[in-house]
Amino acid sequence: MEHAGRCIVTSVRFLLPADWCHRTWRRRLLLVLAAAVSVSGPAPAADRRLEFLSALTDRGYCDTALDYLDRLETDPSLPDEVRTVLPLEKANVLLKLAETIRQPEQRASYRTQAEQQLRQFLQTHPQGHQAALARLRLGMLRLQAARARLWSGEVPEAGTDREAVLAEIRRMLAACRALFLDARDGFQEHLDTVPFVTEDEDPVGWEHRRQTEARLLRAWLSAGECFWEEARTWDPNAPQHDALLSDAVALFEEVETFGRPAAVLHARFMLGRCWQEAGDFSQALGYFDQVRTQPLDSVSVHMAEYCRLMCFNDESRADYELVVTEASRWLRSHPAQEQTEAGLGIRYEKAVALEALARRQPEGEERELRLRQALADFETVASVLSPVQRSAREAAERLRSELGETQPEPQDFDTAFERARIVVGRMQDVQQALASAASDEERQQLTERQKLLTDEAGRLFERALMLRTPDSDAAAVAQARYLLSYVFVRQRRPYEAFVLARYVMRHPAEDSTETAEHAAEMAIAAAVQAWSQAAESDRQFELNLIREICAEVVDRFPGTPLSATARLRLGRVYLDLGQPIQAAETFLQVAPDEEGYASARLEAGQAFWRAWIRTRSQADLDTTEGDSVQWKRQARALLEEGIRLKRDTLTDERLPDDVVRAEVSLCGLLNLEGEFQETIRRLTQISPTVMDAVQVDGERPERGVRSATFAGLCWRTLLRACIGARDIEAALQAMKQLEKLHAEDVAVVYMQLGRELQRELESLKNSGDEPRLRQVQSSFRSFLDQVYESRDPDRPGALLWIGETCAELADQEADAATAAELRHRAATVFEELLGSDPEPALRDAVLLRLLRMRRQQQQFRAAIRLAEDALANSPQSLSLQMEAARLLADWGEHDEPEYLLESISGRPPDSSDRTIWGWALLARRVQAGMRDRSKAERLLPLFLEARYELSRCRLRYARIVPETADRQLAAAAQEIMSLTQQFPDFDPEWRDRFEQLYQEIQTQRGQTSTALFAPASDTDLQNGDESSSSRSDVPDAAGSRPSDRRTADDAPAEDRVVWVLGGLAAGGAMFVIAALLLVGRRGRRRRPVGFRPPETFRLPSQPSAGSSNRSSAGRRPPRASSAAVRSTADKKRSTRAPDTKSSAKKKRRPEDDT
Amino acid sequence: MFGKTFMTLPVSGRQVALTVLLVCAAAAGDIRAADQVTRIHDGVTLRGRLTVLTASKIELERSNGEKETFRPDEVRDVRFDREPSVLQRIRSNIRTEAWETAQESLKKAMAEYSGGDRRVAAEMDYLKARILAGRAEQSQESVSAAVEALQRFRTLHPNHYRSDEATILLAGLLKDSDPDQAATLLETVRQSPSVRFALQAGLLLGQIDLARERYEQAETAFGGVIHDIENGESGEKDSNAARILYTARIGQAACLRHQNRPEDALKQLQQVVADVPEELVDIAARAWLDIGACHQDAGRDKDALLAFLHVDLLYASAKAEHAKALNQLIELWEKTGHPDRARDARTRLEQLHPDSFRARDTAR
Repeated sequence: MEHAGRCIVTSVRFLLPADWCHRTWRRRLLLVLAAAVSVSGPAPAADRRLEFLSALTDRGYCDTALDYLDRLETDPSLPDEVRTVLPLEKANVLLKLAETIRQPEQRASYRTQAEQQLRQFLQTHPQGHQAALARLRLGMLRLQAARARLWSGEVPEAGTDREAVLAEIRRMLAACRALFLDARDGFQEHLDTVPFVTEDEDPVGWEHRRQTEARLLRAWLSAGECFWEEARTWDPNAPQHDALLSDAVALFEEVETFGRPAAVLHARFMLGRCWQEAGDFSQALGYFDQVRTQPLDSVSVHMAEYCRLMCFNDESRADYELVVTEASRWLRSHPAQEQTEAGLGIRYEKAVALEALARRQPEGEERELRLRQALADFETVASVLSPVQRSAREAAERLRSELGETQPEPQDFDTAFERARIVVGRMQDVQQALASAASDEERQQLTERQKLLTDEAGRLFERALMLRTPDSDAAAVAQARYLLSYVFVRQRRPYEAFVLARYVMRHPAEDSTETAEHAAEMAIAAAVQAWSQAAESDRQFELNLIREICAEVVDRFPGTPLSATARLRLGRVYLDLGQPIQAAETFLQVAPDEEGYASARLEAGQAFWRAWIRTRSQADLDTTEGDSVQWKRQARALLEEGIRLKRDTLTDERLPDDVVRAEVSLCGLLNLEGEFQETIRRLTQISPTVMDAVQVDGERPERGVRSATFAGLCWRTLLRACIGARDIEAALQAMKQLEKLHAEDVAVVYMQLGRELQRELESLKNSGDEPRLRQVQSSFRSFLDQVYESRDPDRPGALLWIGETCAELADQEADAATAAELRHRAATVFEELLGSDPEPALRDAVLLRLLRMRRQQQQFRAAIRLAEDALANSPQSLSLQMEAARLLADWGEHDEPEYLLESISGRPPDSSDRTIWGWALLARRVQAGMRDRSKAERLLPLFLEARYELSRCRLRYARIVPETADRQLAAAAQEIMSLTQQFPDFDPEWRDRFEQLYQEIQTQRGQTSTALFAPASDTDLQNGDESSSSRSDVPDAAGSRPSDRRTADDAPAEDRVVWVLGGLAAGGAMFVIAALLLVGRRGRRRRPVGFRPPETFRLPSQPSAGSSNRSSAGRRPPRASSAAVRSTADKKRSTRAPDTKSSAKKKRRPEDDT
Repeated sequence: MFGKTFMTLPVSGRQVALTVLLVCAAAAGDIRAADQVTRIHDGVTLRGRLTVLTASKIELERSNGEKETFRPDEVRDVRFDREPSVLQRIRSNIRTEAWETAQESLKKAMAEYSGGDRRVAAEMDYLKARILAGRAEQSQESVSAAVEALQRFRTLHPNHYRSDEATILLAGLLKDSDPDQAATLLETVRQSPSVRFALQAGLLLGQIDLARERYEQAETAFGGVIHDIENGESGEKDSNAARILYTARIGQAACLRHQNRPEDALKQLQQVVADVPEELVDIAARAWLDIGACHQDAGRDKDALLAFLHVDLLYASAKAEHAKALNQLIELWEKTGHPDRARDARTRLEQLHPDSFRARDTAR
């Protein structure tokens, strides 16, 4: 049987394209065919030798793989199809081995051997897919060799030798090109024989196709690169230069048309390089910008950045400042890429730009600084092998010699140290100038100068420390280290700074304790900088660093301002980490006699306040009520103490920022305690006052106590106090100030006020503080009464606030009549607002609120009309759609149950174009919107809400209309189940909601409630139906359940007639359906996914230099040299019209006919 | 309406009607009889009434009156009408080697079962013994309890359709401690009309002889099994038979190796790895392990290395064999001058097969 199978396989092999021996395909075919021979037996063994070889190579056991290959070569039982590909496999292994070898000679030897194997393979098997692969690999090897010759400096600068070497390299490149183009043709031929499949249909086939397509594109791109490389070996004025570039452009443009992002990206990058080489930087920059702005960490993207800077550095553009800025930014944000070709290139271009900028300066310090910076960068680049290494080395030598003449490098510690200190002095001057800079431009220039000075200072300090001897002054050495750590902090190199600073702190020189103290402070600053730079999810090491250094500072310098500084810094870090109690405890460690004690008390008070606020806003099971109360008390006491201490020692007329913050926090606390008069006093009567402190005449800063945000907080705090104290006039004044402050978004301010009130009322309700709750409600109501009566239609903000506040109070009101009255007021105010034609954003917000009011007032008809009118203008407004659906649901529950159904399926019913979508359509549309990942997170809660309400409406309907309850409840349960399968990872809040709803549905259905989210237990399996016709649902070892398997006698005899008749009926129906599907399928053949070359796809014939042409339609007039590139490409295109008479290949596929 | 009609009948008529009804009910009960038999080769379950259930034959009368006959080795499961539904789950647990779960469930089922069906009781006895045997095989614990349970089952139910299976299990447990008794037991099964059991018995006999260094007898036993499969009824139609076949071939190769015919053994093993079906991963791995051992005997370290690498790279899912291969690779990599690879193999042994790693360390 096995022998028969093999015979069949052997004979079938001859029917396949020759050398079609992709090993995975082969193995699968052997399996399939042999399985067909032995009808119901197990699949026979497949040859796994190549698989084993591949596994050895992947594991890195290349030497063992070579050994194995040697054995295979002498194995007489080796099948022919495996023997055929041995040279190819060997070449693959040799190439892998070469990658792991450091010695260049050994590496070259393996590559040479690989090349030999590939040539050997091609000699015996010149055709087919494997041959194409061999050509591709051989081409890559040869191209690498050619490039190495170009980069290594082997090409003489001038003379006949130069031409000879270049000619040889050109021949190499031409040979590579031929290999690549042949490989491309080979891959294309192979693809034409391989069927289109989808991944689902045939994953192996699909993967094979993908891989072949990728190789085809690789060959294509490499051929283009050969043209480009060769063009660069010619003088730009030589005709061959432009002709070759044209050919390269043509190839890359072909690749651009394919749907493979990585290939297209690289093609575009190379197009940019072609235009760059042709001298048309505008075109080049266009392509480079397309590539470099891709959010990918790929070689093409980085190289595009490098080439872009090269363009800017060209003499014709000379945009040197831009190059320096962009290069510096890129190098800072890509530290891992520094040693790559792109990284080194970018640094090189930066150095070139720096030198060019320096040359623009007159002789002087600025010029020297830039030149030294350029020298440092050239030296860095010159130390690593890259295409620009030679140029960098030459430039570094040149600059070294030039700078050595003007100002020789220091040769001893003292000189270097003095020079460095002078530079540090200049840095301080620049720092002062920066503080008083009048314009952005001046600031920019000073910042750049500061950067140069900083780098120079660092360089000199490092040189000084390198030159120090045992006789060097210890105090000076310590100071050099300390100042260098300062430079490192400025350069944002915190780890280096930390190490140096800590060392100085630990090893103070005699009579330099001051330096040790400064170094201690620097160490703390460096540790904090390291912490802020670290990824948020991985900061433990840095936090420990801060803890350790702070503890050490406190230990070494007790009672000094340093120890207080250390604690304050550490405390702030804890606050940033969201650990306010730890922060407070740290702050409290500052002793009363230490400088910074007052600040520490303030910070501790703020920390306790933050901790208390957090317990109010989120459930924290670990916090007891006692703790929470204690924190509030401590917050108050510490804030009061800190403020008092600070105010007692005030020297300025204006309050310091930390006192302002503390006062506002304290007033917030006082408001909660009901001490409104005290709040008013603290904010407005104790001079200098808080309200004065936040007053600004001109433009407000974005951050800080004088920002609009903070000032708004102050006014809202004051407003709250005025309301509480029933000082209506003052409250109205505060409201006016708020509106002035946020003139552009008044609505937001009032909605925020409303939210704050809601939080306060909820907090009081939750805490069970009924007296306070009533007091707050009462004070707001009295205020509202006054404000409502005197409302001004021209103050929409105030109206909105009145409406919001009435609505909030109504929600919290226990008395139904009072609540109704409040809602009536709210609705009236909202209607007035709408009538005043507010801005669109405010109108939508008000409309939503009005609809909600009407719903709560059960004025459904009017509300629905309003909703429909609004939705006619804004049908896509999700919030309006949701509110409308809620309206219908409540209406249905209150009045006509049919409206509940409309709430589900939309309105008008039986219409394809619904104004109100209903929950079902709403959920579908939101879900469709979630396919856009940028919106998914925002839309998810809306989607869940829609799905929740959908099922809930069914439940509500079922309760009212029991006749159709079963159907509705079944549908609701099914909807929830399918949702949990679709979205298994709910957050806890939604989980609970859906769980509860599901339980209610089950209860309504009269079922025992089972958990929606709990895993199935064994008892579920054991408690299966025990009737004689039941089956256990436990799968057997084969994986099938008994219920899945056929049973010969599935029904008792007396039911058989029924089954037969039913089967005939079903079969008839199935036949009809199948027929319809078949007809439908013919007309709608499924298009396979995968690589689809364009319909006009044709391989360009091998171009000859000097005869290529291109269309220049739509392009700007080019520069002189690039015109030659385009115009020759023009001619080439017009002679290759894409018609069927051309000799180019175009294979028709069956799908082309559909 | 039926009641009215019935009451209009004379008394004798009512009696007749009642009798007819009772007969119909009985017949209906018969029609609804639901013993079930599941075939191994196609997984089909047939329903009817078991009329014969012995060590050599199982007969099922279908509702249409037809009789289906099976050999015990052709049947995967027999389910009895009104047996506790949990039994089917227990059988499934046994197939997936979830011994503890099966044991817990069976204990409960046996305690709760109050039905009078002796067949069900016998089935439970077998399942109990089977579970104990499984546990003993897996972890060498309570071998004596398993032996006792199997012996008890065989004694109480000498002509049970599971008798041969029980005997094979018993022999498997006794093969190290009492090979003679094991062999005697297996000889009886070797004559069984149940072909698969006979083959299994033959295989086990060969392995016992191999363990006792009775290589000629072992080779004969393995040869007999191979001959029966290649010329007999089961052929290679199912993976069970294939497994037995290739295991026997590996056993034969082991005999050759121990008879100082390493090249013949190697040839045999290489044929096994060439022919063995893909899904018999552990068989292929075992064959490669033996190939490696052959090369090691001949001092061919590199060849041995390659053989063990086959297990490591291609058959790592066969855990026991993979552990053994890694063990060998640690030594061989060191010997062939690759201490880093030896370290890597050691690390993977520790991580993937900690028990084997510990055993290795203890042995050192």
